[in-house]
Amino acid sequence: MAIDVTPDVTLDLKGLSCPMPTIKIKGQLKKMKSGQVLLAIGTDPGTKNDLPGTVKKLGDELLGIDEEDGVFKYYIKKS
Amino acid sequence: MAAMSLSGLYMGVGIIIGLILALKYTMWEIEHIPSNILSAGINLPSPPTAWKKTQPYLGWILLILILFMPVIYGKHVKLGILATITLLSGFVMHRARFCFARTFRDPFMTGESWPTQSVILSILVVVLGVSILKWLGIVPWHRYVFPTGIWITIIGGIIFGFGMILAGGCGSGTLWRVGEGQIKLIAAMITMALSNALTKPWLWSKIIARKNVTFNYLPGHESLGWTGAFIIMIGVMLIWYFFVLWNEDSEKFVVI
Repeated sequence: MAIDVTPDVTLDLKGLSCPMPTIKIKGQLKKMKSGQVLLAIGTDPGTKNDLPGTVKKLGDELLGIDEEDGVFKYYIKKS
Repeated sequence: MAAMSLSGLYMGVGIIIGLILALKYTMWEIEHIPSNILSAGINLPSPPTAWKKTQPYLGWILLILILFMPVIYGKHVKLGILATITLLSGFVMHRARFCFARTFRDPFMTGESWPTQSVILSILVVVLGVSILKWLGIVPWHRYVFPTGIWITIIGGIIFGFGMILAGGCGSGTLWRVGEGQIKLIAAMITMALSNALTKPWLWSKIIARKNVTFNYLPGHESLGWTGAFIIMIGVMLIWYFFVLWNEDSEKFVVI
């Protein structure tokens, strides 16, 4: 399932493991303006489970998750 | 904590201090150390498709073996049963992605309180179970109660909390992540085992020579007894519970 959105900011989190990806995504989202889309690319399997809850807690929107060969792409829209 | 030991509570305090420091350090690290150094690592190629296809069958065979552990162990039935129980609990922990580190960390990192809530509930269950065992005398009162002083426990907790966040897992979390193949935690597990083995005998001889172990056992205090001990334990758990609930809404203590 490919997400058809052009991200405003791309965050490369490949190789980072829990809790780094979540901290980085959260930090990046804080710096972004409302309506912007963040694309976070990571390899940590734990983030896939944790991220929906974290994004919901922040009040932002998780547009979708793309998974390919162990690499996850998270599309998050800042509210 | 569940063994009704005061040092459990002290360590909890230390862990929380340690992890707050670690979260702050992680924030600093993200700001000041370039990304390519932080995520430098070995990228192993994906396993071939043939392996991916056979893996489920191997899993089934393993599951059957696990259930027949007591039989496989032959004479040592007790060991076999223990092996089955631990293998199954490890399986559950892995599937649930149960992480003790999240219990302490999440309220301060994202504000989420559900991991903490579930662990508080499980601690209460264990406190009840262990208390019954100790009260009936099935388990001696000093099991899992260690004669460590207050400050050394808190300092130990701080070091542990700090390391826990940097390593990415606590005791049980480390084990199932090692099972998944995360190399960082294999290193953490080896050093954890080595440091424990190397320091414990020496520390033990020093501490046990001096400290009065009965101090740490809550129900052993004359003024407290079992009632007082229960009130303290459940009270601390309730305070923690309401604190994380409040923190989830107010986000006052979210460090990042």
